[in-house]
Amino acid sequence: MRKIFWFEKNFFLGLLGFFAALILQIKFNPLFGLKINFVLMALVVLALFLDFFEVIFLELFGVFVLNWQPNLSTETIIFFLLPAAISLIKKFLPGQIWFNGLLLIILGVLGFYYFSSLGSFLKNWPEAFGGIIATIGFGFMIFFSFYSIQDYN
Amino acid sequence: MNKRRWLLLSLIIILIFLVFLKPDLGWKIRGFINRGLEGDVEGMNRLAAENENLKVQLVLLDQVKEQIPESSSGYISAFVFTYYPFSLKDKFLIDVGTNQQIKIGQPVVLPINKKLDSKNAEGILIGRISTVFDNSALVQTIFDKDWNLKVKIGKKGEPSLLKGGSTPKLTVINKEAKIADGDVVYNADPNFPFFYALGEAADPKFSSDQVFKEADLSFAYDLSRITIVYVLK
Repeated sequence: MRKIFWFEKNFFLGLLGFFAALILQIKFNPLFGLKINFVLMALVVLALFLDFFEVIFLELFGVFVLNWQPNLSTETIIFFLLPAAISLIKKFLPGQIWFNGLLLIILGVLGFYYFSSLGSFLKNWPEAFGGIIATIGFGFMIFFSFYSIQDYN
Repeated sequence: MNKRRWLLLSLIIILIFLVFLKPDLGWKIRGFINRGLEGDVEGMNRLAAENENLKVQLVLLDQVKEQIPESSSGYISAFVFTYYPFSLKDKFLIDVGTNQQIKIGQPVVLPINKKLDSKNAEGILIGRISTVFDNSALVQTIFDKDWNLKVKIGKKGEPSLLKGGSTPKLTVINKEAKIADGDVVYNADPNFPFFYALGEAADPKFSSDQVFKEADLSFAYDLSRITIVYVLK
């Protein structure tokens, strides 16, 4: 694959997707009444396609811009750990990349809500459910966008 | 290790430094993305808040104002640093904390008066202090799903329970109550100053079990674009 300044094309496309997700999350959330975790989904998907250090760089940039209090909150720590863990384990997963991708997107979103705000979710599940479905939908969308431009030959 | 790795590692180290030592720089970037290209949103929010407050004043004229406790004896003005970025919670961070005598539970309002010499802050009740740091504090807003508040609706002061969420709901309203679109909703919870407006009732209807009425709470302002709030003492 052609390289630009030592980086492969994927990194720059990932960077583009990441910043688009960041702007969506900051400026256009909630979207149609649904709060969507655009950046988390972008990072989960990028963790499947990018190198570990590239993922860590994007994650830290996400934490830097999205962190919302002087201390690192539980949500922020989980937000950092999830894509990093996916990036580490992706090589050991059986099955096709598309299947692993879709599975990890669903598990990533559910894991984030479970570990960060289970109490709030249980109290307000009808409303929260819509946000989760929309977040997974956004994840599928960017996953297939990335998957379709990969060269697997 | 190749050049790409060295470059990434250097950037990662810089970002770690920024995350822990200069978090305010990240908040400024967010603020720029959020508000950078917009017009006078704060001015529009202020007008909307003033409109809500005028409606409450009209309600007050119909009631015995003398019997109501004094609402506020002062306030601290604060800038909004940043908003909770994920779903399920609705909070924001302001630039005053323990060092400015901020305590958990203090009410937070969207201001409508700019007079620096004014002792009382007029405005729309939008939240309360939930966590306090040295020089900053978290505000839980009425859009947070964990928020509940006793309120009254309209000139007759129909009691209701406000349940927070991305679309806050007015619940357990007496089914005989006459609620109309646009009726002002104001605080009736003793933990907060009385007669602070929250918004307007919208789309009143019977609850699914037909035992009570319920309605949405509508707002003329955009909470995610607020830059200045008052913390009531």
